[in-house]
Amino acid sequence: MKHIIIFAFLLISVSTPAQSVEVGKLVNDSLSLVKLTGETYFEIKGYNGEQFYNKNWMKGDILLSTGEMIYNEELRYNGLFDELIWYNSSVYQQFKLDKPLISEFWLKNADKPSIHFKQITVDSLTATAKPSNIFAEVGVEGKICLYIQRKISKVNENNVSIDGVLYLQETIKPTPVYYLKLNSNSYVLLEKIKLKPFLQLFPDKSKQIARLVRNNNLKFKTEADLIRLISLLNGTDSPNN
Amino acid sequence: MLFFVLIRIPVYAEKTGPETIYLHTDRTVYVAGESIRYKLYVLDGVTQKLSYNSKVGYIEIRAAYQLPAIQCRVKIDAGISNGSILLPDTLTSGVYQLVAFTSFMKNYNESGFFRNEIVVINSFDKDMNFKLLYPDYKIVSDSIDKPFNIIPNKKIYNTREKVSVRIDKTGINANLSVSVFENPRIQTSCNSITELMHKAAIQHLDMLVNKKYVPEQNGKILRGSVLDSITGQPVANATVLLSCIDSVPNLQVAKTNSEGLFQLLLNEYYEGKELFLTIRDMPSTQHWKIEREDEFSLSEKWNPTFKYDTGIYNSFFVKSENIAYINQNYPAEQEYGSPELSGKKAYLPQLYYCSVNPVILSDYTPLNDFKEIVRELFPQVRITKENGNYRVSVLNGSQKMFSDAEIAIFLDGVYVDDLNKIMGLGSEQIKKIEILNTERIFGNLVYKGVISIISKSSVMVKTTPSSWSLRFRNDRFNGSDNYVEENPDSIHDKRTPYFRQLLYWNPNLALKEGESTGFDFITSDNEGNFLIKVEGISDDGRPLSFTSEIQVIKHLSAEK
Repeated sequence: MKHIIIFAFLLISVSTPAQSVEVGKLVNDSLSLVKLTGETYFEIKGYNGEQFYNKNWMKGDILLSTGEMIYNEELRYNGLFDELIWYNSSVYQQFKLDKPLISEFWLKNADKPSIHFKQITVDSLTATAKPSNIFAEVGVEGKICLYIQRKISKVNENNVSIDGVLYLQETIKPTPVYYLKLNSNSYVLLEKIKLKPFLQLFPDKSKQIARLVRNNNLKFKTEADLIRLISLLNGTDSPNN
Repeated sequence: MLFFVLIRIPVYAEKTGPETIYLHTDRTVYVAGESIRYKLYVLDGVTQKLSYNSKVGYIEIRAAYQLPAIQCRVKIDAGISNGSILLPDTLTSGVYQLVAFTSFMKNYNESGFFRNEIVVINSFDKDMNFKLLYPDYKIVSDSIDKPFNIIPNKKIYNTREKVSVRIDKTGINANLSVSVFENPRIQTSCNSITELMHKAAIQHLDMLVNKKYVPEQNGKILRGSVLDSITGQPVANATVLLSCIDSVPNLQVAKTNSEGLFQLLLNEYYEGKELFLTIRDMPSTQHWKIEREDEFSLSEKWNPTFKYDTGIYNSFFVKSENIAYINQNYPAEQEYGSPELSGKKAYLPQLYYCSVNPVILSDYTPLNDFKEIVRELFPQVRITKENGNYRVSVLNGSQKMFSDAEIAIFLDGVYVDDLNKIMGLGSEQIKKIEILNTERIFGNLVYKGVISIISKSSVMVKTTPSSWSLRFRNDRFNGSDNYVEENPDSIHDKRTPYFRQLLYWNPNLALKEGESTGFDFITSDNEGNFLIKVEGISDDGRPLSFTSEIQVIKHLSAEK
């Protein structure tokens, strides 16, 4: 009984603040000018593999190209189509957000650091195509920046039989693409995480970089190695002698 | 937990306490055609510090028993605002009331609004046949505990002589405003910020009368209601759309609450623009209308009792007129200030950002009207007519079928409230058309497609709103201060008459702890008693009011 009374007191205390004004009884959503815009997203299913970078919805913040921020929206990044998908819980629908509106976004992990994506303009992989705007995860930012396009590609297709009907099923898998932004502000594609092509990007400093890799026991085969090396080059990570 | 609850309450109260406004004007007597220079202080009624809550303030100038003569909206930054208001030269002579408030203050009784009086003289009024509110001049209330003193270097000055005023070292930081003006010795109802805060401390408690006004922290909030025009009953859950003429479709959306009320934020994008309000999916059987709340509307009229003849003040008024006449012929001031432009571009609530290929009508054979344009150029659009009402539907790009749901149609960036407005438009009038035939979202508003029509000569400007729509101009914020300090060279030119009733105005004088400060100005050819009036608020919320008087007398020796 005593606990019930204390609890009731706490409830009353919280709900009737002294001298306060419980304002804004009107619908306050209309007081937020900044709106997300996009088109209804129809998920194409039936792939063999996961098309989303984050399979489950994650809370995320979005920096719009207009400079405004939008916080705590349900987001998924589709690596197959390079689109940011938004779940609007008010209308219970998924929407593909207008890409020119999105400058950056952060997918928030409960216990880990947020995953930061930026829209960058890179030369298309085919020589004739125009530069394209892509969402890429920020690996490292500094004098040298590393952006990782969390691309999901079709790698194979097979005929599968469902209830006696043959369907063409595409197999998809993550095929990350690495872009380095050097002092020149241009993006350079790093096709694979291998030391040799990386050193070729820095002909003047290749010896020092090779020594740095050796001294820090970097095998230079994983993304983590690449991030660590660029951090070392930027001076944001302390090297082992 | 209990500790959390106990400490949380005062913090919340501090954030949302009532506000108090003080308006320091440069003078108390003006000639119609002159400007009032002001410094507006918005203070938190609980802490008495500058309030960071409201960013918009409202100033109204009204004569007794009459409609307001001037209404202006001012931008407030960190609790302060300064600028000037031009008094039209059509104002008749008399006592006018200045009222200043924030929207948030409307939650409280109007008696908490700032009120003071000024006298306006019209140069064409030779009789001065008006009366005053108070009989005698009362000495301006200085701060009771004086943390500093203002000390002019002399008490009596010659004409065109430099005056240096010193403010001693103090133990406080404060934001001050200073005016030095010829003292007409006319009594007004609010003489200083100290006096105001003293009154506010007595009045503010238990005055809450309303809860619907949120602080205008990001811009003006447009409020209104949707009503049934026949029964007068409020309409709940109506979707109100706001847009304005632009080269891109733009939109803001609000839903009415159970009392039929809605509110929309107007940022700088909407400054000085013609706004169009309408109701989405207006049922054809209903007679709804939108009513806009007048943000200046004061429930209390100003009905004072004027008893006292201008008698002894008449000579001062005539002198003011003469000085205004001289200054018209020898102007030293800049023209009325223009609004400040903020560095950041205002956010435009654009309907879509995806790329669309516009159809430029001049690239095609001229077509007579919109129906013909659609028939010839847009197979994905269908126009039908039922019971005399047009209906436009688009072929949904994903579902490959015509959607019966209403699509959003924009003309010159404005949401079209009646399709008849666009049906007569042909290639002669239309510049380009953009069509999005996918289901889209804007915030929480889902629509089946968009047609955006941009006309060659802003056709939307010439349209008349439907009975369920509203069109009005959103006035700009009041301009910044136009006060410029006198050019010393022109002052020393004895061939040019130099008469001033305002010798100095500084709306932002910073007072820093442990530092002395001061200001200089030059007396004019106008002889008389001048009041040095300093008002302000310290960082710890202490109202500061100081006055001192100097005399200007022309000494013949100075002519030598």
